[in-house]
Amino acid sequence: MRSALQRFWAEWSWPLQVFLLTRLALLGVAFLADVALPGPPEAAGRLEPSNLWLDVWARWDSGFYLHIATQGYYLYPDEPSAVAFFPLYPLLLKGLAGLVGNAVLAGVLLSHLSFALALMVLWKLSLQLLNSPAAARRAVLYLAIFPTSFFFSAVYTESLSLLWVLLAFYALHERRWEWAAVSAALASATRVTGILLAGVLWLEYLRAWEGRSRWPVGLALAGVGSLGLLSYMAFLAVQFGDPLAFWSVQGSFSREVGGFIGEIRPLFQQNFLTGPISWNVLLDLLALIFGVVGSLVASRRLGLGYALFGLLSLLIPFSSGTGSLSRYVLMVFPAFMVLAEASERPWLDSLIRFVFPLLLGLLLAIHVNGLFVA
Amino acid sequence: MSMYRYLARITPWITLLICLTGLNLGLHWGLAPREGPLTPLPYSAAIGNPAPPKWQEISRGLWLSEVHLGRQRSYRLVLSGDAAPQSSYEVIFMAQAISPLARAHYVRVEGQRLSSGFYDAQGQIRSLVEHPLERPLPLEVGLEAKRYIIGVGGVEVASLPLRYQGGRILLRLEGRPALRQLQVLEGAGQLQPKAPANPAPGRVLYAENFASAQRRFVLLGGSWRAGQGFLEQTEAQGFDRVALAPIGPQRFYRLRVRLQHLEGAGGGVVFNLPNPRRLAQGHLVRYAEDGRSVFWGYFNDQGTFVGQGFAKVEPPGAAPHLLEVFSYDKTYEVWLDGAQLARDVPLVSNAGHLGLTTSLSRVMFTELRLEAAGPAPHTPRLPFGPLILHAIEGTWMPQGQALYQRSSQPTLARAISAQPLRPRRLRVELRWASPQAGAGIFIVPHLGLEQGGWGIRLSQGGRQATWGRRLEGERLDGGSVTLEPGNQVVAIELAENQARVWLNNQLLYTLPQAEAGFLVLQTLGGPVGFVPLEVEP
Repeated sequence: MRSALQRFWAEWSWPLQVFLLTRLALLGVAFLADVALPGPPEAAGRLEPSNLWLDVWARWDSGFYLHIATQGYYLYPDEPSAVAFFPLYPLLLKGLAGLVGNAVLAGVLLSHLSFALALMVLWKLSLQLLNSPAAARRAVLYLAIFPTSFFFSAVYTESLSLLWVLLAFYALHERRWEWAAVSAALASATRVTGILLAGVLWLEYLRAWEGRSRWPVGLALAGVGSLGLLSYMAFLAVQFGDPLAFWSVQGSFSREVGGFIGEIRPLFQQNFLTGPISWNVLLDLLALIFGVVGSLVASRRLGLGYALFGLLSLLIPFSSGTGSLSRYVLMVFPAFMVLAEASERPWLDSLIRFVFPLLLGLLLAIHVNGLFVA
Repeated sequence: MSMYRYLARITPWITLLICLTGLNLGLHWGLAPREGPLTPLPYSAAIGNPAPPKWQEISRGLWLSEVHLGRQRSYRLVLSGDAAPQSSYEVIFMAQAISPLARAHYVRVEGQRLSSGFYDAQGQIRSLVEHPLERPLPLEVGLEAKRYIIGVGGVEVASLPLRYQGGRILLRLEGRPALRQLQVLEGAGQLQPKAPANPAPGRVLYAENFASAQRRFVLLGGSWRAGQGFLEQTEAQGFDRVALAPIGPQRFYRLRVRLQHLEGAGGGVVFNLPNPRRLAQGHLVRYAEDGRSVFWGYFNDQGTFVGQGFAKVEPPGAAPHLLEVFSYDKTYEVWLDGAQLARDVPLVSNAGHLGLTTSLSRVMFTELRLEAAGPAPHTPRLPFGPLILHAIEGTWMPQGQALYQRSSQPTLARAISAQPLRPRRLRVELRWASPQAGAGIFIVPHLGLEQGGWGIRLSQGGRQATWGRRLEGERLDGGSVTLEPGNQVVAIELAENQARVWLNNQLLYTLPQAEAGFLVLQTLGGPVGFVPLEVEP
């Protein structure tokens, strides 16, 4: 028994250490930022006022997930409505809340558990793809200390979604198509961009069976990979008469096709000496550049499927606005792998280890105090 | 070993099955919108003296009923009582929040006026329709899946989109209400159609002469000036300057508006506005500000424009243009200068107020005319051999191989082919029913633009012929000739890029670089027969 535990720790110690250290540090910073800084959560209304250690992880979209889990979906025309949020995370949250008796605690536990598992899968996949334990270590670390990685701890879908994405790519790497389809189906029930995995699955399957007429099987696997989304669409059709309600309501979240033009233009008319400036648009654009460049490099280094997933995960939301791109980039794990490889140069590694945590702490403090980061 | 392989093979699919089953059961049982216990139907409660437990007064005059309505069900609310003419009350239904009142629909009756709309998320009232009433009761509200229909005295007065589903019913009673009873029944029920039998298609419902129009029109922004036979919007700045025609709600009609841009572009029409004070739920068709297209769509509940399509057109310039909208039961059509730009465009509102609009432009409107149309598409097309002609002005009647313009009005009458055509040969004999009558046959590459067209015009009962390319002011750049009185035979041939025009079997002229285009038949000053009109496409 002891040797099994030792073997487990020897194999997984790096992702688990990174997980524990970063999450504990973030919890401390979040609590301190909440109690020490005069933020607006009081006015906005706390979701768990009796326990600030939990409450710091329930801001902005967390309210939607908690509402869905506790009171079900709703759709009001021309208003930001719960149907924009996919069901698997709030469903698991609801189940877990039944066990622990507190919805916010259930969300925090679910997010942390998912993130720990996601880091373990990323570690395993990085070891196989990067052929360098040092680079794999950096990939795991960079993801965990990325400036917006506090969303992995929050009552948000980031951690669960990343877990399914990484499991799907790991299964693809292992040529275990059925498991990839299962992971894709779960991903497509967690976030809308999860459906991209169905396309990647089809593409990778065709590439693996090049020259053989197996495309119907690939198509069937992709179909299985989209069953999560189809289940949600069927639910929306039955309950609200609009299977695309999650898409129809995007306008009420200030997302419109071509919306990025109106958001980027003010950047060129601001006074960067005196402010105020649209700092989060700047942040989103930097994240977009990181994700797009990383994905393009990944196409050569890791494969076309990785690149397409990364690019489309960012460009689809970018088509309707820059908002939250710095959070969406957390799904683009190939960019983190590429960055980890490039950081063999010690100066770059040191720079990242200095800048990322600094920004992470700053953005977390802003987020906890009720200001919109992503 | 084989057992192990079998298990390894089916494990992913069993996992998937379990996950999807859990997801779907969880979705429909765990995450579906919550509904409390619903009130058994049919339900009836007296209102004469409202009191607990059936009624709770949550603020002065605002009574909350005990009724809980469910989502995705059909209901009929019936309010009955004495039909006192000054009754004033409000029924609020599908209320999602009670205190404060928000996200709910309402129907309000104040004396002889009915209004309806909704309370938004902040509890602000958004009126969607106003309607005069002859009597205030009984009021019926049929709640369907996506619409609600308001009826008074068994006759439909409005049909509006349903934004909120399920929820509570409240009553606001002011003064001495005449209400006696509230009934809630299953099923939306049937009301008599709002409008009685429609007048025959083509009958003129309204023709504006613009005398004192400035005072009579309902102005929703802009600076409007009425003159002799025109109404002008004089501000070149600002969007959605609207003047509503001084007529009540209309349905099933052909709306004709002639407009002339004096500065900029952006003139057009609004129609089927349920509420004469707001654009919400109404339709709009107008020129884009750059003049290069005409677009159409509607304003949603919030008053935000939602486009339904556009067509590229020639910039309007300073020339007059005829914009037409055919509004039917479920769809509408858009025509510009006799050319159809759009058809079968879905209506979000099939009846309501109508008027003129401008954006970023000074526009003079010289005609606003309304003719009856049926509930189904029926545009005045003249199927004529290989041609489909659209009668713009005049009374055009096909008869065998002949086409007659019967109107004896001295004004210009026109019929235009619905599609551009390249006639290999067109031959027509013109018969004059009046010594003053004239006629023209033109090929026009771009509708609404005089330049570029070419053809021939005969006037004074066929005693004078003029031909050539069309210039400004109806002038032609070719020659002219005096003819013997009588019928004249005109033939047009278009081969490659060269056109030949024959008059009485003699070649009149040859036009190099002639373009194909729409066939425009004109008459002026009296009836003319095109006997026969032969077109070889």
